[in-house]
Amino acid sequence: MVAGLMLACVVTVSAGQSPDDERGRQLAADAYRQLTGYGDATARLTIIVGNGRDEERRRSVRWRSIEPRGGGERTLVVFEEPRDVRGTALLTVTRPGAEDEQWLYLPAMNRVKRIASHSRSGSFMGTEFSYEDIALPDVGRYRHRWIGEDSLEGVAAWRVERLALDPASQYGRQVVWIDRDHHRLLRIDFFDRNDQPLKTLRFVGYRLYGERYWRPDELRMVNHRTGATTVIEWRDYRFRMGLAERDFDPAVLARSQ
Amino acid sequence: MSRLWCTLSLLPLLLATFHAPAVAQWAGQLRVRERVFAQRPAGGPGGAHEPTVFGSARWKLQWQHGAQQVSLAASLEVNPADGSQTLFDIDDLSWRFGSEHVAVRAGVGEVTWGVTEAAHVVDVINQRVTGAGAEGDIKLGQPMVNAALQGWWGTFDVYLLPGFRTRPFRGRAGRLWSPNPTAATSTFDSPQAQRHVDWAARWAISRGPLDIAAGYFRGTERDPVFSLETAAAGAAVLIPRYELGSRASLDLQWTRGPVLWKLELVNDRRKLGAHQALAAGIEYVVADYLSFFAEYLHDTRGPLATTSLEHDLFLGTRLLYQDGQVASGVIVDRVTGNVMVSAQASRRLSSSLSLGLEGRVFTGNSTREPLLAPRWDTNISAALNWYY
Repeated sequence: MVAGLMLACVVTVSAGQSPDDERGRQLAADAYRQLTGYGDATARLTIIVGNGRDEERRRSVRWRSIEPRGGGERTLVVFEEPRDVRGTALLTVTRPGAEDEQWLYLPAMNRVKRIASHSRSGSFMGTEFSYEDIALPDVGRYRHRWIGEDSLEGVAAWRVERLALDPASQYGRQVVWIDRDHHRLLRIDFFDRNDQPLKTLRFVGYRLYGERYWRPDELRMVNHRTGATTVIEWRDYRFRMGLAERDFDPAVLARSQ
Repeated sequence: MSRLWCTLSLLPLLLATFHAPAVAQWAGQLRVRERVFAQRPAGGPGGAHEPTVFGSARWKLQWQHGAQQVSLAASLEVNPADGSQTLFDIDDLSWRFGSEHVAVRAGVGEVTWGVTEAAHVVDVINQRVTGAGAEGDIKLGQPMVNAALQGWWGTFDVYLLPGFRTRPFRGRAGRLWSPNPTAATSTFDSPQAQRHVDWAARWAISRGPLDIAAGYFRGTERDPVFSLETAAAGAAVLIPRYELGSRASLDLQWTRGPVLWKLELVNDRRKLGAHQALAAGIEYVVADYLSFFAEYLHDTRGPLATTSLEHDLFLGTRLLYQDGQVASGVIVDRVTGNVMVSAQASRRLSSSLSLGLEGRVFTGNSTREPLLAPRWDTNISAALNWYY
């Protein structure tokens, strides 16, 4: 329903644009729809940060997410490793058209703390991902253009160029590979404001969950400037667990951990 | 409320329901610390340095997809140089149940109210051990029955608090305590003394940029006042006295972009009159990893306050990096001119090992602020933490 309305908006706004713009926008909307409408989901994540030399840092977290009735998304991340921050929980509430809200639960102090919402270009938990990179690719946040077709490791794909409308975005253009059959994101090339290559994100090992949700086993980000890498491994994906919205409330954060 | 009583009457039944597989978790910490003082003790107890060993363990069992939980947490701190400083506490020993609109907890636990950095003037449920060093105050587990109702209007918590715990005057044989001996027995306003049952309630809600909460407490106040008496041997001794009172409090935070506005207010009414306390300030987030703090704390009792933060300004900063953090702060007493500067740094050595460094410097005159005396001792310390 929400996706349908958004699509309607998209069509209205894009009227009068070139056919390639319209096609790009349509593909982005398909990819977005593929990522939403899951109800609720849980997973275990391992985040491996490499500094481009030989050092590696690992973090593991439990991840839970829900699509609340009013739209948007609520995500709860609970740290398991490193062990000194075990039990620390980060609740992020995303509402359409509003600033994200975040609360941190600190087990050592048994305290829930409202924190300043991150800047979109800030690093997500010290990784090569920024908050802008991990946010859902809402169609209204970009201007799209279809730029051609390609084949990535034998998978037929469309190439779509997008420009962030947010002036605070750290990127110039981005090139997105969207798979032709299932509208899955396969790869994103990020360019800086001077059109120099900045980062590349690859989506590796797609699996079908619940006969409906395609999700990758790994997200692999490489920073071309520094050589630094981040791999996010997703394990034990489960959908429609019947999670309750109240479990994603700051008041419950301290109680439920 | 009828739903709540309904839930309470069903407790024995709920306890017996192990439909879903139960999940147990263990965690714990071991810390070895060495603290070195700038000056040799001036006639008081303690040596030029103090090693301490701290251990804690936490266990919990959840079932019904986390709807029910039993948990146990205990901690022990030993000062090998001085056997009298051992501090053991059960931080948590409780059963919890949560459903769509109601949550119940019974047992021993910890509760934190408040939003500011330097001190929480509204925090009241748990007794605290003061002068405990960089981690700030350590809380003692409080016996309680707590019920929470949740709805579109926020969360309403009620606490029944049987069993009062007196403040342990930890370290009176060591360095970080005042040279005046404190009596082991306390006096109470209430004829039931430690058996007086206290209660508290709190309403809290988050709406957009605003987090707001109003609290109420009635019973034996957690912070003692002291009277100086002469013991049989002729030496002066401090007698802690715990007063009956009621506290109404408000705390709120306004979060917009990089600026967080924080306010805590309390009106505390006791037998000898009422006083008010305030903590107010801002946090400015320069980047996700760098924050600055500025807060002011005030207590209308002035020199008679049971806190050393009665008219103090706090300025601080915190820097997070990949494997740790660096934090520093300065507290300036507007009236006495006393200054405390502190700095801490921690670094993760591996997934389960971390190293911490900390230093505290005092300038001014401790006799102007007797309550600061326990901490009035410039020192640096290093700690190795192991997490399992």
